[in-house]
Amino acid sequence: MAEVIIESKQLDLFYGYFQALKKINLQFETNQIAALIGPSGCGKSTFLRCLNRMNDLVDGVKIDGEVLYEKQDIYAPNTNLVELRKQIGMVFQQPNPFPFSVYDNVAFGLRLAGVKDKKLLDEKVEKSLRQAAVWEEVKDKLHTNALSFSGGQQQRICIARVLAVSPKIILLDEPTSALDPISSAKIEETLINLKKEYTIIMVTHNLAQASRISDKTVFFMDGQVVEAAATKKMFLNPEKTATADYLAGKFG
Amino acid sequence: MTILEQKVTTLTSQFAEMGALAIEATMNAGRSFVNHDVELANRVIVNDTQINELQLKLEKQSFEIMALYQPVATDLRQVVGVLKAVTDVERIGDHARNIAHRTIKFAQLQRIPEIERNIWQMVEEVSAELRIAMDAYNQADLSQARTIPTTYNGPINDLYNEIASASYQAVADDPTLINTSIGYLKIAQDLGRISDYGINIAEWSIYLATGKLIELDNY
Repeated sequence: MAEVIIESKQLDLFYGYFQALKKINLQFETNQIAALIGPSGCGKSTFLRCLNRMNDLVDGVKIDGEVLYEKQDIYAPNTNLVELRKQIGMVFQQPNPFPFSVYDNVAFGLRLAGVKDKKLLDEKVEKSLRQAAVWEEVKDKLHTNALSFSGGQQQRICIARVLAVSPKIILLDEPTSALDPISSAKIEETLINLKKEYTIIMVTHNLAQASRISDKTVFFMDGQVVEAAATKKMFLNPEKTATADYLAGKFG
Repeated sequence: MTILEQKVTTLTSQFAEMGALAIEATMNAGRSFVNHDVELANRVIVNDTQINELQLKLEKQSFEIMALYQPVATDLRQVVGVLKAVTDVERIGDHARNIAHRTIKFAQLQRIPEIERNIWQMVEEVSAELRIAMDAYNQADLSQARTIPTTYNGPINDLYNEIASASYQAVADDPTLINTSIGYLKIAQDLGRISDYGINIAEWSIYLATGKLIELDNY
């Protein structure tokens, strides 16, 4: 049985007076892919951003409850945010490489952490790009501006940038919704390979994608978790009628 | 290989394994009967649970593939083909098990060697038909699938008719042979049904290769 690496307990989140998350209790296990699904505005992205405190930057946000990462509450006052976000990295919907070379993008986090050894940087950059399954496509263009690559390649470069700082958990917010089907398939394949070493939690609007690659699926609606179960169970025989209706495309 | 391809490959190779078990069951059931081998008959009966379990397992896998991976075109036909043909293969196992049960019941009965020779021949014909049908399915080879009715159904029906008339004649000559004769008829019927399922499997192999649902002509 895999161990729980991150969990939320009675997590509430308010944007001003609007309650976006209501008493969320969820657990995520190591070396699994979890998919968060649900209609727009249901709170799934908000929840994902709680897991590495990305919501701290939003004005008027108030959070109650706990998020325990390796048993430590990440909302405790003594949390080192830089360290936290190194361990729990995030990939966004739109590929967002920095406007400099592929190499500098991937080495960015390491240099920030004070790594200066050229050999070590080279090794890490190559390893990360390989893990993100984009090495073969960029290896002769490492010093080309990352923005000149295709969307799918940029997204995998962004994944490599996260991997370079050796995170434990990778959060992905609709990582393929801005990409074509072939690039999406490559990202999916990449994620399946990555789960051997990392824990992956992703928000997706693509139900087929959730069913294809995730081990666990969580269905959100109106800021609440309607159902969380093994993906097989969820897609073959969900407990709740609302889940079945959403999966069948009857609403949302 | 994508995950879908891997899942479909596992599914079809397990189906091939299940087919091989059903052919073996048919051969062994027939052999146990003509050799009066109760031990072998018992083995056929025990092994049938394995075939039944494979059916459930393959059905479950097929549902999962459809729900999780949305197969289309060839992949979809592979999954639907297995989902349908698995029932035919399971029934073949059941008929083989019937024959094995009859071997055990026959231990005390008087026998008629000429009829049993025909039964053995029928077992061989039916097993050969199943092999062709399963090969056609596994390799999606239509030339073999299409020839099954012409190659096998004629001889199998002839054998059935011979066994039936010889059994009736035996009772007419000696009414004490009633149970023996009924037993022979039942076995010939079981073998006839197995042969029908073989044709079904051949039809699924044609669906698999072409996407066309057809009835192969029966004699």
